[in-house]
Amino acid sequence: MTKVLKLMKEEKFKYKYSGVIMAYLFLVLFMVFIGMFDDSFFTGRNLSNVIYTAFPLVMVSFGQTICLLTHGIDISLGMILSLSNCVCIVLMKPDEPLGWVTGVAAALVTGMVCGLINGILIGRFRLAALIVTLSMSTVYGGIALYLLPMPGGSIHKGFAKFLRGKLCGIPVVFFLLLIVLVIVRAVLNQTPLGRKIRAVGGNYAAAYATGIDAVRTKIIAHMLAGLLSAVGGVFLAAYMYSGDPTIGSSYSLRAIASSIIGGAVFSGAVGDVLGTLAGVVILTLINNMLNLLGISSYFQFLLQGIIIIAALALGSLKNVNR
Amino acid sequence: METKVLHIKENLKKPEYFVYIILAVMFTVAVIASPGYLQRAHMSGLLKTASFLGIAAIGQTFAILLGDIDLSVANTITLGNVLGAQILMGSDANLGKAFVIILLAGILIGAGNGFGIRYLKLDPFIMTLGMSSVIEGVFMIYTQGAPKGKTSPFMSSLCRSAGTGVVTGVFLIWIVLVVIAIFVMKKTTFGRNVFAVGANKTAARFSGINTTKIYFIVYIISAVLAIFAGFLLVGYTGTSYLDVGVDYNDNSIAAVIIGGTAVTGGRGGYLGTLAGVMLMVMLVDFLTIVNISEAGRQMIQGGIIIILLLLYNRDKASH
Amino acid sequence: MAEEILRMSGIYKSFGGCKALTDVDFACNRGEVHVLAGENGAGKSTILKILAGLFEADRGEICLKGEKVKIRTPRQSQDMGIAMVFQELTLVGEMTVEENLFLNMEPVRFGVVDRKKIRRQAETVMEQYGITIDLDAIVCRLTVAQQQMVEIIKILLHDPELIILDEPTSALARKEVEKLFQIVRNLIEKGKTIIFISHRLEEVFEIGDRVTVFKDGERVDTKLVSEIDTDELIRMMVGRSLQNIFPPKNTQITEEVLFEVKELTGKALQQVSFAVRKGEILGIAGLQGHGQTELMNAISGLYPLEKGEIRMKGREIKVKNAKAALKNKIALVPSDRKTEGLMLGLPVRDNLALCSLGRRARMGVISASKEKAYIDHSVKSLSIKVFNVNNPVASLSGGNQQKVVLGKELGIDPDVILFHEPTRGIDVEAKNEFYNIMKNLAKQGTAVIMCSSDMMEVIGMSNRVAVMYEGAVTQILEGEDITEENIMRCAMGISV
Repeated sequence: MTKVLKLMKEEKFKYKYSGVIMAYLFLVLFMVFIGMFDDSFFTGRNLSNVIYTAFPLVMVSFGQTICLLTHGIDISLGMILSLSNCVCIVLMKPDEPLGWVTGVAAALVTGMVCGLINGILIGRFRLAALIVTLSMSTVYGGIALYLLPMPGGSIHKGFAKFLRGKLCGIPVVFFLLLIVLVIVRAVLNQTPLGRKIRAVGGNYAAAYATGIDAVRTKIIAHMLAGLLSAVGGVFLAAYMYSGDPTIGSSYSLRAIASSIIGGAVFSGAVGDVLGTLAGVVILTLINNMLNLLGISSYFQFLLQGIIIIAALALGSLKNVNR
Repeated sequence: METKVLHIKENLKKPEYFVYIILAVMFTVAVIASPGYLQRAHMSGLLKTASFLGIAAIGQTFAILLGDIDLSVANTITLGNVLGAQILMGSDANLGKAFVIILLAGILIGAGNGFGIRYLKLDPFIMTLGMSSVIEGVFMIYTQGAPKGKTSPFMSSLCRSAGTGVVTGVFLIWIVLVVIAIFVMKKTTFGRNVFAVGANKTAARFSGINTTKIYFIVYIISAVLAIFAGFLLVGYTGTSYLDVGVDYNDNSIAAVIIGGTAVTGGRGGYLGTLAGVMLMVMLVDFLTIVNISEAGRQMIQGGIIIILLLLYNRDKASH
Repeated sequence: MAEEILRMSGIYKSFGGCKALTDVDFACNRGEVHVLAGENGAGKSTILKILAGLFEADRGEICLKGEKVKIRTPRQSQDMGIAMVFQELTLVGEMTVEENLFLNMEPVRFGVVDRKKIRRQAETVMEQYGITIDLDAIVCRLTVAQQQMVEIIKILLHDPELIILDEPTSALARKEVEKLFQIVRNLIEKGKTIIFISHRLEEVFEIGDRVTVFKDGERVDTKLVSEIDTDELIRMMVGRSLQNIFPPKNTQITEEVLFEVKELTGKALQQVSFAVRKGEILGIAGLQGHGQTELMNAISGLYPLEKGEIRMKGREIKVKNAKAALKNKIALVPSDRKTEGLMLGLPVRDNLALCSLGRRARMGVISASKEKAYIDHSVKSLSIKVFNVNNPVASLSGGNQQKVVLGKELGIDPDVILFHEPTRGIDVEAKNEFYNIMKNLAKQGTAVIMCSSDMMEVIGMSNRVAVMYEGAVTQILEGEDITEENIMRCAMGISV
């Protein structure tokens, strides 16, 4: 215990994790608050629901956090999710025993290729990340619509059953989420690649002077983001039993909000996916709460927009004071 | 490919003028390729569609000249359309009321964006994107998902050409706004200040420019023009639709970039955007004529912006 | 005779037609501290950047330990045992010291960064050279001096033979300078060779073995430090007496006070008071970061004041923002023309007109004829060399760009004009023109305040010098008292 307290007093710890800790503190208070209001909140059914709804957003948000760390951003992640979702469904062979392999593999590759294209345009050609990914978002959406003009298609039953299944009463995706969290965190915090990503985001000139291939680093970061978004797309295909070319449209903005709530900053180099996870859960719970309270879906649109702006504003203002 | 791209770029010293050559070439090709192109009805329709985009693109040009962008244009247009139809309810008697409410809504949206950007220190991209979803919430609540109301005789007449000409009321409104926009950008202190802030915010502040005021005015201009474009669309569509504005974000940005305004700010102007608007409208028209699917249209429209960015701003742009 | 470790001969370098180095020879012996001295823009940094592989020389050759070498990239230079600590630090502020030290050369174990090994290596180096720093500290929370230490440790990890320090002391307090010098001595003891750029004369004598003086892109001479004195060094640096670069000071100074500030207090300012009399130029001096920037900006309405008053011809005025300052006819020529002074991409015309747009406009509409007359007048009176005023200001030379900044500010007919680093990065000829303009402004009755880190400039131009230390004006020197030694003493908080 004293060790923990000592650690928390350390400057490095404070600097790196203040955002994360704030996010979790808020999350816990929020959960207690909802729990008091509504008895149905802490039921296994509702909690699994939260996990299912949160999972794809967690994936996209992790990707967004990586992009933010490079002092970049990727508005097209939502549409990459849509596209890989459609690719997965279209190439799925529902009736063969291993019919899910091609679909899933193609979807993941699609995500990476999309990330690669974004990365090249931003890193190599030095185009403004926001406007490039905004336009690419339209392109990816168009391709998704071309592949699957209407929501539909069918999924490999065994695969869907696996992803929707439970282990010891806990949804399988929860474990999947933990695995992804551990891997992404390890890559970002423990490997040279993670350090390069943060160095490029924190001080591009310095990173360059140190001999870091900044272009390559940015490309890899965007590819990772694309891959993670594709994982989200594959999961949604299994969860909804079908594909939908517009399913990802709202994810990009929410992913940015989750990252910022979780302590990442627009100016790069600062952020941790652990915090991002809290950010996603907070946003999901707000939705969950609005549903439990029976607020109309139209009001939810409005509230979400306001909450996201408020969250991002808090993040920006905090960053300005830094 | 690489050298070719560079070569083209060299010739594009002044993209805002070069774009007129492209426009002339495309127009000639279109006239030759499709016999009915110059027919009154077609030309009138083309100019009419251009007017809506053109009006919205004025605000977008200002925003991009600042080095920012306004992503709330699309939903603001829809809001204008929905509000307009529902307030008018088919009667000219409600015109005044509609005008005032829509003007106020526009000012509110623009001021909201300005506030978020200057006081909440949000990135303009993010702020206008967030504002966009707030506006969506507002018109969803307002219409409960099913827009009602319809155009009034006066609004419809604005979209009909007078006599045998190709000129419509909305086109005239656009032309007047074009003249004002170009005049403001080139000849007024406000215009100069916008360019200065876009070129170098710090130096602008050091030079005594009230940057906050400039931001507020630009975003209010953008929102007001967008919401009136949506209002004018009521006359065109007859009733209102929840997705009437959808394409206007991409198309207005594309028109501005085609017109040679730099996404980094401080360079360009509405003269180029004017040609950009015509090119975009001709392109969309062409895609409709050859009956291309929604999917193909999206791919082409997104792709065009990327290609133009590569051509125009390759070494200048950075986030 | 000491062993020669480095010889650069016939080095020539120009930047777009502007000569930076003309056929320079330079040699350095093993185990010495070789100081490079000279005015700003004399070519000291350029020749060392060539050595570090950041620039490539147009002509000339480099011999390292008697062998002819070619250096094209920073990497090649590093591999040959040369390391440079830059004026602008190359650290990532958001990361820890340890992360920065091993950036892009992290030892890896099982695919994961081997932090134990990193700490071992870093601690060994720190122990060896007597440096202490917390490896877990976040870099942006460290002081400039500490960041510099990090930078030094970073290059020492490569175990270089030749270490270049580019003006390492410019931002340091006296105590920190001593610490740095101790480390330099430790390095020499361990057999390293050091090239040291400095603009402080007393440092040359304190740490240097030999000194090479540069002037206008040429090497003036190399001397053993023990064989020269301050006067000789100054003569070598300036190459002519001070009177020739600087116009004679205005002697007709009346007692009439044009401009006055009283007890200006803000976050970085402590009760700053001074007055400018008619006809004089008031210099502001001090070491970097002792409140000069804040003072300049506060008077121009760009930095919030907590307390204090600003008086113009006896009347109190309020400057709550830059616009109000300009309205009250207070103009600032900021220190960094590229980020604070100019819109580089915009035409010369737009830049020149910007501050005074309203004066030539009616109801917000600019009068084209009035503007043309104004632009023509500015270009002519400041003799700005520009082919077409519609060309972007970025296409002009540094000196002409600086004149555009000045012209922009003069557009408001200022009663007070503040110059902040007025001649940074412009050539000698343009400097001379600038000095004459400043003097004439003072003569014509404008209150001129000049803040500069260039000691020669402050001494050569000012009738009085206010020296700042830790946000306060410690002393105002006048007449014969304006000497380099006095200014340095005041700047370090020691009274004269």
